[in-house]
Amino acid sequence: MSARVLVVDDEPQLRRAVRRALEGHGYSVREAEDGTSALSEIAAFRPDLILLDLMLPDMSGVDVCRELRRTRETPVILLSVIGDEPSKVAALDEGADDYLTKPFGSQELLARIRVALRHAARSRNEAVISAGGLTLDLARRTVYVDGREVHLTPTEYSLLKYLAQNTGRVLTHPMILRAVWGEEYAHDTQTLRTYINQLRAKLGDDAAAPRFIRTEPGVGYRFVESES
Amino acid sequence: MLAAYNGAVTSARLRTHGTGVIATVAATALLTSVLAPVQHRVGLLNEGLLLLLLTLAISAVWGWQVGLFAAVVTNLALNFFFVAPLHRLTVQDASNVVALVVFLIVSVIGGSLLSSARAAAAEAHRSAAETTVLLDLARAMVGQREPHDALASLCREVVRALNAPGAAVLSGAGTQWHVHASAGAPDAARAPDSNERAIAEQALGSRAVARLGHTGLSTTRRPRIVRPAGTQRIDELAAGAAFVPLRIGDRTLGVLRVDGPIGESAFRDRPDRLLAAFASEAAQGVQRAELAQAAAHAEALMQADEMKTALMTSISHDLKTPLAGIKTSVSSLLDGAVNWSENDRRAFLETIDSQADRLNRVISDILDLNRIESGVITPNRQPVDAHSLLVEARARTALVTSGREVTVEAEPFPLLADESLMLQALVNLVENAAKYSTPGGAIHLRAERDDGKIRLSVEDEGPGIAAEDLPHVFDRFYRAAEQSRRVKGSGLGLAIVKGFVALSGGSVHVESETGATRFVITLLVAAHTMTPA
Repeated sequence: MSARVLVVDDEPQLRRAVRRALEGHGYSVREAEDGTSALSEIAAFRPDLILLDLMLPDMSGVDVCRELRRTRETPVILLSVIGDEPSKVAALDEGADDYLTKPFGSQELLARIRVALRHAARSRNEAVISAGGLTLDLARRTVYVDGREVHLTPTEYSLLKYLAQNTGRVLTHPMILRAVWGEEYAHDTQTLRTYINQLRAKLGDDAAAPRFIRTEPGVGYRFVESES
Repeated sequence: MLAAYNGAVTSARLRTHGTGVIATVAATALLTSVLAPVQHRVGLLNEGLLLLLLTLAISAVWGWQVGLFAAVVTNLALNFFFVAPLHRLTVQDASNVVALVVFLIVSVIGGSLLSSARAAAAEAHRSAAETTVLLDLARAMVGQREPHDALASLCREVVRALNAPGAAVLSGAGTQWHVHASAGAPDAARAPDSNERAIAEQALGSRAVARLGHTGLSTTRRPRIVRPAGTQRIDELAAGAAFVPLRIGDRTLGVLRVDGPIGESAFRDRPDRLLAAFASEAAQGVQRAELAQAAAHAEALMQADEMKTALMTSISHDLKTPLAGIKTSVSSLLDGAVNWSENDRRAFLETIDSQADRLNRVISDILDLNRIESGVITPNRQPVDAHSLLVEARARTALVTSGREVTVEAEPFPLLADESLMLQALVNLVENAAKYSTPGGAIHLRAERDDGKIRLSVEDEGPGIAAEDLPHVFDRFYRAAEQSRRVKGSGLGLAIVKGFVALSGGSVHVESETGATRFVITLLVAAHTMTPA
């Protein structure tokens, strides 16, 4: 069965172009022009993935995200424009998975959709997470890179585990800080930066050419996995 | 020359004392001549009391110095004319010696009490006057946002309160002095000469009032006279100036120069306190104005910053949104993995076509606005036919108004405008009407002649514009909250209309009510006949 994608954007021309591009690749697509119709389409169409514009005529993409996350874990890819950064980060904080900056090519769009669908399909409670040479054994709390064991402190381990369990998703600084350190550290971005650097050093990762942890400038981090 | 000047300085005071002395002698002579013939009936006691009364009256009017003189004169008169032996300054009866001494003592004490009471009353009067003057000054300076305005008010108040010929605020050092503000005679704005600069620096250095020449203000110290170079006349010399330092804490704001001679007598004797109060009020006023100016500047910077952010956001959206449609379509067409149907290919190409047009329009708008604001457009104003202008505007907007009735009601009025700019303005207005009014609603284009003016109007049937948005519709990037969600646009169209209409020598305004919005362009009637099209 083909995956169902809901395209939410108030620009009819862009909506139509995206729809055709996706249908050409076998996706089943529906369109919504504002937040209200998006929410009713989500209930009726039960999409596997949502492409969501941040600026909608009746409500913001952030509100749609918040409303959606009350009941569903459907992956959301935000469609944003430079200048939308604050609302983009707010929507990611509300549980959006990824973002694409307009204008985007159809190949990039399709690739992001594939990644998001694959991670959504994977259970978040697997015992072993493997990604591009890194193996995380959750039962034994051990980490291997290219078969060699890496020793991590408990905090480094928690951080890596949280990132790896959300492979492919953009995680904002506050989201990571809340999940690993707790609510009171939600804005301690400097601490996070320090730990990410330590983790990268131990994993043999390079911020400029990331194998595992990619920096999303001004937003947060994303655990990446090369497409195979 | 100096002696003559010194004489002039003190002559006013001498004149008043002289009047008192003459009045004393005259009044004593008069009273004596009235009483002398009837002295046996009046009695020595009453004569003494009447002369005492005269002494007290003179003290009250001319002060204790003249009063003392009066006590001596009346005492001599009493002795000479009324105490035996008459017409001699000797006293026969020993008890009369006591009476004369008592008379003298009572005269002197009474006179000095009276004159000090008079001085206290004058002081109270001066205090009240000072309070009034300072209140007026404070009132004049409150709310001044420009330091220059605050200083100008200060000068005006000084001129008014002291009835001085002029006042100015100066600052500087060495030979570089500037006049920041002045009031009074045109001469008050003069640049300080070398003498004035020296005295101004002295005032700043000593933090006290310093004077040059005669100002009509008395001083506790001897007036410092600087002999000017050259051959100035004595009356020019006499018109001196006082220099009062203006300071807040350790900061020097400048010097207040008050030109003499002042006309208000209330502050003559004790001007230092008033001038010091003026200086402190002025210094605070200037500081307030400087702070207000800094705050206004910061506010303006913040607004400019917000404007820049709004501009960047708006331009990003307006340029990137059509680009997004183009990019997605092109990359899909280039996608070798899909064998697109003819239908799909055509749909992608149509998207590219329409979005390229849209991109072009946004870029043209930005460039137009930039041309208007940088003033590079030279309008070619000539007589244009109102009717054909409206018909042409309707023709050019046929695509965006399809499905709507667009009416033109106009006579061939000759109006004065740059034809292409005016046409673009009308096209923008019609497009605007099509965007924001009720879908399918009619649009009416009209031209009316009214008292040497021609009014072109574009009216739509729509929800109208909210009253709070009306004043802003011509602002760049301003889009009504309601509309910005419903319709996407650059927010530049109406700003361009305003610019183009202004270049044609006209004006544009908007009238709105529920159910209709009307944009009205007012232009001049062309004076001469139109060139046939």
